[in-house]
Amino acid sequence: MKRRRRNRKKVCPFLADKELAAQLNYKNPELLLRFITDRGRIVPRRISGVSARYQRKLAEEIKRARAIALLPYAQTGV
Amino acid sequence: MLTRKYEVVILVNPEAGDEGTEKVLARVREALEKTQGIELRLEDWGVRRTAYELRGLRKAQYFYMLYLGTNSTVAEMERLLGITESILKYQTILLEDRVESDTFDLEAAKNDTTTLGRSVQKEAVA
Repeated sequence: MKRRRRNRKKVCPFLADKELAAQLNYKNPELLLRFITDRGRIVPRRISGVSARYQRKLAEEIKRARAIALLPYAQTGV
Repeated sequence: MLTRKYEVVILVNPEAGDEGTEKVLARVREALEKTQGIELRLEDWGVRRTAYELRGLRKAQYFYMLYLGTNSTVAEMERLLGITESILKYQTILLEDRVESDTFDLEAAKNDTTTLGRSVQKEAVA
């Protein structure tokens, strides 16, 4: 059996949309919510397709939002 | 004066009432005054549901302030915030290094609002 790999490359949503990139901030939890799982973990970029540069920024902003309880910390031991 | 641009988010116990919040704001302004900081903007984000429990509560009153100051402004403000009982949490973030406060465009900073600030204003209008 041959395993088929996806051959279409994912596009970083922040590189594709400059306005979206400008909104990438811990004060905008609705946007950050799209990049965390239902358990609160940060979605890896191999899944979300975010570029390395914006993944670094995204992770930083998610952590800032967590610190002031705008976003949950990851649920463990469930 | 050469300053830095900071923003601080403060979570106040919603059960503290108006008195409690006034005390918090007085403390913040006291820190600014002592260290010649300049308040650029204060936003009230209202009472929001928190993502996790803080002192047994799932709600907090959020305030946001943008200001110009130095390291001593931050130190003094965080000291005062730390000794105020009604404060659940706070977070200071450095936005810009080396800002000349004499030539800074204060009006532009005043008229801007963050996304969370805007959403609260919309609710107030509706």
